[in-house]
Amino acid sequence: MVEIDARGENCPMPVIKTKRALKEIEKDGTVFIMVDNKIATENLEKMAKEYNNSIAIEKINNEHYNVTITKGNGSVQLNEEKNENKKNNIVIVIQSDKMGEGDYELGKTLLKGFIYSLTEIEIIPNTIIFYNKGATITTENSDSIEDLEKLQSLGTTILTCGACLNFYNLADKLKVGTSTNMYNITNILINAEKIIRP
Amino acid sequence: MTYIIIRWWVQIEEKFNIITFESTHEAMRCEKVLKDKGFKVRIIPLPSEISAGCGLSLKLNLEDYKEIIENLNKYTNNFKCYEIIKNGFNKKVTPI
Repeated sequence: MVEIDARGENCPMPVIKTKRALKEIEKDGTVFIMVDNKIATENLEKMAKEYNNSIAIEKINNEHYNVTITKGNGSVQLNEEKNENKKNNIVIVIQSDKMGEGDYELGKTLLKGFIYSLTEIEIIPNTIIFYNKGATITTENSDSIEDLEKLQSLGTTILTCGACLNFYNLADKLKVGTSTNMYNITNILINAEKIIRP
Repeated sequence: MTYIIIRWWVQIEEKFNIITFESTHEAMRCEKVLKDKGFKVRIIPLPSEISAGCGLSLKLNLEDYKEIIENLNKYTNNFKCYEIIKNGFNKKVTPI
C-alpha cells in the first residue's frame, strides 16, 4: 500500500500525486491518501471512477478525510501522456435534429441512420457533443437512445449542452450521457484532432 | 500508443429481420405506419451486403415479423424481407 499525506496541499496536487502512485502499482494494489477538504475527496472520486478504480472515503473530521483507492482494470494516464494522445481524438458534433438541409423528415431519418452507423463501424468516436436542437437526440422520445447507450458502453463520451436542454425544457428528460457547459464544449473542440459535423 | 478505440472485442451475435423498399419515401411512410400501430421498428441504413432497393431499410424484431408483414400488406406489396445474423462485423444475409 502506498500512503500519501496531501493535507495542506492545494488542488490539483492530491489528484496528481494519487495518479502517479496508481500508475506505479499493480492491479488490486491500494493507495491511501489523506486530504483536508471535501472537494479534494470529490476530485479523487471522479478520477478513480474515470479509471475504473474503487474508492472508499472516510471522514475523520471537517479537516481530515481518509481516502482509499484500489486499482482496477483501467490503466491510469498522466496528463503528459494524454496530451500526446490528443492526436487521434475524434469528436462528432450534432447541432441539429436533422442531417443536412432539405426535407425535415428526411433529415431526421438520415441523422438516425448516421448514429446507427456509428455503432457499426470499427473506429469509435471519443466524444459526441449535442447542442441546440441536437439536444433532442439524447432526450426522451428520441429513437437514437439505444445506439448512443451502445456507443457509451464502448467508451464514447456523450455530452449534451445544458443551456440547450434548459431552453427546450428537456433538462429532466436527458436519457443518455451527461449535460455539460460551453467551457467544456469549447475545450473539447479546441483539443479535437478531427471534428465531424454530419 | 493510440487513443483510437478499436472495437475488435465485440462478438455478440444478433439476429433480426429487415424490410427493404423501392423508395426512400416508401420506407419512411411505412416506418410511420408501423410505429403508429405500436410496433418497435426503426429505419437503419441498408446493409451493404444488399444492393437492391433504396438506401434505407426497416429493422424489426424476429417475434414481430409475421404480424408486421400482415399489417404492411394492407399498404403496399412493394417490399422485400431478409434475415440478418450479425456476428461482430460479419453479417449473414438471407432473403425470406
